[in-house]
Amino acid sequence: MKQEISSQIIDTEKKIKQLEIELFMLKEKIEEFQKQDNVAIICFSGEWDKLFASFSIANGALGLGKEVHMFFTFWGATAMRDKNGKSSKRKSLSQKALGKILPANINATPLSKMNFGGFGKLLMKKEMKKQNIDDLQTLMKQAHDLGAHFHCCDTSLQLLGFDCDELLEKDKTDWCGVSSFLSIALQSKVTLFI
Amino acid sequence: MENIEDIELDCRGMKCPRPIIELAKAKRNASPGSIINIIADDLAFESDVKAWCQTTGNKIIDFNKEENIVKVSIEICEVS
Repeated sequence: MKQEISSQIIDTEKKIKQLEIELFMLKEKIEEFQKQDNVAIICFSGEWDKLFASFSIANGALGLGKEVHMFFTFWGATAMRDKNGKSSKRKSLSQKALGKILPANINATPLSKMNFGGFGKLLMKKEMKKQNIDDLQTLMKQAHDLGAHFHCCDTSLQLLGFDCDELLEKDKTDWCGVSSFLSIALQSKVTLFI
Repeated sequence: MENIEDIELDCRGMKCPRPIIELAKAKRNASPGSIINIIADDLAFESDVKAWCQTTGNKIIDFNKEENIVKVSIEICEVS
């Protein structure tokens, strides 16, 4: 009888220990999950107003102390273009044409609405200056200075014929594909597609 | 010895999200226990500063609003 009871006690103790280990692992997982509160922004549009929204939100998130990752893909890749950048790569005829047609840098991007051949944007920029609203380049620089991570879609750049020498902050920008960005997005609580 | 001090920030004339950026920058250099006195006239600032404090774990110890001008004193509770 005594032996039975003592073996039962040993069994119960073993189970408690196992449960304690499982609880500890769960707590660690919860802590890890709580730490994952990055903000990921996919900048797909190469339009001035949409990029403005992206960088405003990025700055706000950085102000809140969050880690911010921005993924520039397709038309959004033009935001990273450097006006004075020179490519050393040989380009196809269509890539050359795209290079000429697409905005030379973030400042040259058009408005998505009411652009009126650049006149609408001119009016908006004037009004923003009057109201002391930061312009797009300032927001971009600020985001960068506050530690935002810039990622550029490799395929989009190749398609549009942009060379890495033609891009801003080329040393600090990460060249990546969909999977590497998704692995970041999976660790983020907020992912925006703009 | 930690350097506890009062920091004054004048963000009048700045528009969202600039006042919060300035506040976040000031907080980076502030030791716990320091007070940041910030004044701003952006319409979004009132709700933004409350959200900022709630998210970052800092405390509003004084809040004053006259017309559109908001004056807030924030106690820094943790190191960034």
